[in-house]
Amino acid sequence: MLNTWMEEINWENMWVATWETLFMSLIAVAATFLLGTILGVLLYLTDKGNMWENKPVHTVTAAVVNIFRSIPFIILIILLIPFTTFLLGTMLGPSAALPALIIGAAPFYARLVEIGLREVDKGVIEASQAMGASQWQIIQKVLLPEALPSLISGITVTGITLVSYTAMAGVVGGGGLGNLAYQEGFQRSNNEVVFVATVLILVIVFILQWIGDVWTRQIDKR
Amino acid sequence: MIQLKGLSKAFQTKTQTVTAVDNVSISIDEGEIFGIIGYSGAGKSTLVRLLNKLETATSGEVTIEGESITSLKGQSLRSARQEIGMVFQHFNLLWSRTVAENIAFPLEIAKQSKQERSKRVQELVNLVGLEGREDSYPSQLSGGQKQRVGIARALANNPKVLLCDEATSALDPKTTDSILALLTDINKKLGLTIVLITHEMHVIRKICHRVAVMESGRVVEEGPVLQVFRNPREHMTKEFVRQITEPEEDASEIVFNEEETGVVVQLKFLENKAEQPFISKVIRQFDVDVNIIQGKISQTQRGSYGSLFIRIKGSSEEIDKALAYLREEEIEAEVMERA
Repeated sequence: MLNTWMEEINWENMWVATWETLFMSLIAVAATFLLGTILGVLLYLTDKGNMWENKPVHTVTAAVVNIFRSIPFIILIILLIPFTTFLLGTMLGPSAALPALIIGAAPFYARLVEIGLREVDKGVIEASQAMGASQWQIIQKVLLPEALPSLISGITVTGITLVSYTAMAGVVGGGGLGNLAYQEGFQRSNNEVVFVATVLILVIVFILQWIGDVWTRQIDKR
Repeated sequence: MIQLKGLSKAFQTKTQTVTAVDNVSISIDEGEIFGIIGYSGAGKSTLVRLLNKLETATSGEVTIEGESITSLKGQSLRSARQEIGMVFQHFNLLWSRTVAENIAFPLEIAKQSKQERSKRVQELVNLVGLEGREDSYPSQLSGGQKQRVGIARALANNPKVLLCDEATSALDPKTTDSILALLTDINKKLGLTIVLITHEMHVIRKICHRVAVMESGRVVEEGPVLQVFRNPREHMTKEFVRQITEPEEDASEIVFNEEETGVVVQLKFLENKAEQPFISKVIRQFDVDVNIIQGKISQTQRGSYGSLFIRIKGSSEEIDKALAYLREEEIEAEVMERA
């Protein structure tokens, strides 16, 4: 019975879709980590009482972050169609999903980075200043390393959100397991494809969570 | 070596201006341990931060070895800071780094090569007595060990001055003493000038050569520790001195037993007089009996001193002679009034 049940699935398509999902997620996580960290550091440093205290810059950055964080992802994809087409010449395929994924997730991650940085002991920053550290040295050698466990657990949460975003991106032509489940599964009433695609997405999420947890535990010496 | 001239720092809050440091002028000599004591809020933390420009002075000047710290900016300020070590109440170590990496941190800032760093770190680990703990993380250390890392880190770039901001206030009495012994040791070994702020008179007594007493932003009294202890002029100073010099009970609480004859005398010793056998000399030379009521002797960096309450019994003539003898020997002898 199991054999006939699985016969309806085109495994080749399934693997292609899995790789597409992995590709979108990993690239998006990496880019989100980079962009979100930069934004988060900017938010933190320009805040009141910090090294680059600057109200206009902080307010504008915070506003941009809040706006992009608040737009529902499915709408963000549609809004970004002209931008994506301009950037990549197409809005179909896994690569075309990337701009929306990154722009959707980076502001969310930026807030997590900001919260993580705020937890860094102000006394440690003062001690570094007393040692004659430059601002760049403080960011690179104090702020980021001291906040690293928060940054890692933050990117884990964001990464899991990104996997579910890839599924949504799939529905509007982005490829990957979401696209497969929707087109081959839902539209052709092939529930087995939907089921297998869901299981594969869950496996990806579990692995991601596990890596994040182990990594965080290993570097957290507090 | 360190000169503070008319140094002031005011903080502007929404409703008022708070003067944390008010026209402070002090001169600190090379190689001395200079203590600044005051209650919390007296402005001593702000004062010590003016010395390495963690706080910017509103007016006045700080010079260290002729270099005006108050006018430094950017890279030259950062270079100057590398020559001023600082130790903190809450240690302020990087928890993400091991002991060795924490000590190496100021050396990284000073852009030393990896080889130089590891050599220097080992010297410092030995200096502060943390052999074998190089690879531990701060969370695995006790408070005293953390402060040893803090001190090693502060000394890494061979500073001229060490600033201690309540360095022992978060430690228990025994650990405090071991950290104070370490600071004294470093002061002697390296000839390092140490500026130390605290609210504990005990710390001043144990290791400082000179002391300044701060109250609401101003230095109200300043001088060699022994002199300040012996002759506190200001009310605030007397309060601090009483913390450790006077016996637990105040003089007024001594029981004046009406049935006892003779007089109660408070003796105050200075310098090394406390170590000489005055009591037995008095008993041998004069026809009096001496009864010790209570007393306390304290050691400072430059000698011991203390106070002792005794009852002298005998004829009033002999008592007067005994008192005269004590005064001749530069011991302050004050006859206590009967309550």
